[in-house]
Amino acid sequence: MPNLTKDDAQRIATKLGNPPLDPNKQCLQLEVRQKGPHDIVSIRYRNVLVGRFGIQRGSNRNARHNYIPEQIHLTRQQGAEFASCEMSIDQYIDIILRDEEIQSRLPKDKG
Amino acid sequence: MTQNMESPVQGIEAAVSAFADLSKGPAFAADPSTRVFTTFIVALGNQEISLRKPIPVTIFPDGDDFTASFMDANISTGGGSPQEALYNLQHLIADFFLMDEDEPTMALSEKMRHQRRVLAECVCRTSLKTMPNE
Repeated sequence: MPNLTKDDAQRIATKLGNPPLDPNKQCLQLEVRQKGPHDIVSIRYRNVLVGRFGIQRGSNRNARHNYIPEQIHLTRQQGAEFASCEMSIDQYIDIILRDEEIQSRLPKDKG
Repeated sequence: MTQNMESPVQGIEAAVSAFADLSKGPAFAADPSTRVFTTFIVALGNQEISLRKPIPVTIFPDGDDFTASFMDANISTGGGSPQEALYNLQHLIADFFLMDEDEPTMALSEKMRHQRRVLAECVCRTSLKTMPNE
């Protein structure tokens, strides 16, 4: 089972803000707030809050952050793949869109 | 027929025995680097909010670090020691609760709605929210 460090967590947060290659997909809206001992990352897709997690602000770059994938609808393996280059932002958005409970909250397309 | 039935006295004895095990000391007394244990958060250390009831927390070692989880609400964080992980979780629970106040319910996925409901069962505001233009 891969381990996610603080560096991986920051890589995930950065990658979540990348625009998808598929023009039919919208960008995730990312908000990062510095609060106490965490940088709190909120993720929205089409204005629906789909996940939120905290990155520890300490100096230890190897601090384990294995709990993050569960909070953004990924398994730990998928989280590691997303932190590396094995999973793209498009693939992540596909995972979100496959989640029926998220899909049901998204505003309906016009037409 | 009565062999399988536990008498009230046996039940009480079992409960007393279980309580005696608990009273041997908190889980922190054991070596925390090798085991998963649960404890409760009974205060958040935030003047704006307070707890309606204690929050159960699971703490487990993860390499050289520790992860503290409020599993009911799917809120987790970590730290270099069990105490630091717990301290970080106190902050994260308070911050999530306060950030959630600004979110309209319609803008939450079902999991985030669930998290808000669970937090609302455990946490309440103790001071009026100050609006930026007041």
